Amino acid sequence: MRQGGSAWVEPIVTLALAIAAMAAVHGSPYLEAVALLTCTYAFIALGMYLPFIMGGALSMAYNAYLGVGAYALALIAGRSDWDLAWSLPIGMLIAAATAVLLGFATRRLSGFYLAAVTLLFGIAFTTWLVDAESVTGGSGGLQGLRVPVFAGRPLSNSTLVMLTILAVWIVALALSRLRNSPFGVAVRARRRAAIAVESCGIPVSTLTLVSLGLGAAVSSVGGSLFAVANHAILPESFAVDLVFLCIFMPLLGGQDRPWGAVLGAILVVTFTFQLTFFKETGSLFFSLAVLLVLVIAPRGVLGYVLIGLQKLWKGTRGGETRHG
Amino acid sequence: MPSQLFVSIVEIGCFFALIALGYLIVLYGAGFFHFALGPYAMFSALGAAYWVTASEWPLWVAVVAGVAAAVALSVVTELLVVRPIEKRVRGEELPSLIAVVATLFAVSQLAGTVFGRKPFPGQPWMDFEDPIEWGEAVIGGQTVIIVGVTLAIFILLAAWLRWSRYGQWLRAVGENQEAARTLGFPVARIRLAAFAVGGLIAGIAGPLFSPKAGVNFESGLSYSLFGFIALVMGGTGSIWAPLAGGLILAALQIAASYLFGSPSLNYATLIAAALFFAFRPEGLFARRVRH
Repeated sequence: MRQGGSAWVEPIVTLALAIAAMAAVHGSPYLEAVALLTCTYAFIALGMYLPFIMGGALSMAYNAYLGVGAYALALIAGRSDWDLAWSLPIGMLIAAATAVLLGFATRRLSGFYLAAVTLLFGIAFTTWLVDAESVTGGSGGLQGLRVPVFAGRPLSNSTLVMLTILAVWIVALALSRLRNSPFGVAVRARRRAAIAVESCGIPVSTLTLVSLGLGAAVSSVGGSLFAVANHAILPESFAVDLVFLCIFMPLLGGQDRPWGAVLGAILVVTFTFQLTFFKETGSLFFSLAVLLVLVIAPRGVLGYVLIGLQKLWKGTRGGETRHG
Repeated sequence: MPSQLFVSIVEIGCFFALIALGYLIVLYGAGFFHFALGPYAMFSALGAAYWVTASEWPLWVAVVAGVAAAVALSVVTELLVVRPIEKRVRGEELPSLIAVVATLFAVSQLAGTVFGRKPFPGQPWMDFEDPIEWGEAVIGGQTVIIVGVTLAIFILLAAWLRWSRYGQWLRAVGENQEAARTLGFPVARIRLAAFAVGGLIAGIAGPLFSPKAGVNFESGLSYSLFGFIALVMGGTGSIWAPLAGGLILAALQIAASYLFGSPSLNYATLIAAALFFAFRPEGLFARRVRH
């Protein structure tokens, strides 16, 4: 995929897969629900991709950003007559602002210290969701959200699923492009050589804050989606355990590309919710799979699939030249 | 504050201090924050509670089994996870951090799968017929045990670091593994000893404290976090620093939830951690380098 002239391969192949996914789940309410959950996870994983996988900063407060998106939608649904679509930009803005503030407060921290403080922030956020009853509805959450209107009609679940899969495709593709842009290259260089990046005249702290803000905004979309899909939200849906699943998604799927985060989300939902064979032990198998990937297969599932495809591609091309 | 709360501060403080001490030993020996210590403590506590109630083992057998499991988990983590990854990435911190976070999650899920996902009350090790009365406060048997065992562990560890060969070598290896290897220290074995001792301390801390607050398969994360913050507050300059850090963090949490209601426990912890990390990341007891 990296060779010149194949700039169209990535969008076309992935769009084809996205359309195939839409067709596969269409008509089955159960599969549609599974697809929506997968997309929620995919949004968080994609949100983490930029600051975490590319930038190397393990900021873990993503449950809070997801919660911001969800509560933005729920509050607009319950306390205003605005179009629910407004919750997307509002949620994204609040989540990005929260992430930038938290990032600014923790700008000198890295590694374990950053992970610990951001985890505590995530825990404090869920505590606040239960505590601030007048705003968030407390432990009962916010129930009975109205159905959003799309093109003059109430949004059906099937349409929501299609729009969502399309949105995941757009975000992942945008991130993939961003990865190879000058901004993306600087973010990735920061992970290993922050001082070198700084000495090129790029302010590393601003770079980090921007990537944290963008990532939080993407994750909050997942939150809004979650609220729409369930017509209700509960504070425990945004507990910190969620963050663990989300850190592991891009690792399991493959760190080299944002598509790995999407693949990771699909794997997680399959492992933990889908396979009745695994039942309660799904998360155990999932965590062992992650450890296995970390220790012996650091490129993740997608990484090895791509290597295989590239070998195949080179093999056929080699064959052609010999014939010609 | 009612004086009973001071008893709670001491109990919780001792527990945080033990987890922080586990961190400190692994940090000395392997230059590494062992985030999975909390789940080891949880595993040991949950295992002991499960074996006593479901399998009807005698308490001490269950506790010994739990502690052994914690040590084994810690050793396995070093051998199968941390060591291969550090060998591959050479000096980059993030992969080890992710791996130990994955271990944290995996151990929690393992405990949830083996012992079930419902909370267990812990089993007290000792109960007085007549609890000691101290002012308005009542001090039960488990409180005495917690304080006694914690102090004993701290004293033993201090002695181990000072007088045993491995204890003395521990710091040399943690400071600079390459130099220690060049000088012929058995680096791999010393690191393994550090992980084993860290697991041992966490394994004892879990069932020791669980009679006070109960335990479930998800407790490990907060154990890890609070222990880490206690370590940062105390600093890494002295073997006794974790004890100070643990007691300060416990005092802060209890005072916050007494004064402002229980949700503020988490807010106070976040604020305290952020302030400490920002202004005094070396903790209260840092090693001073003389010029």
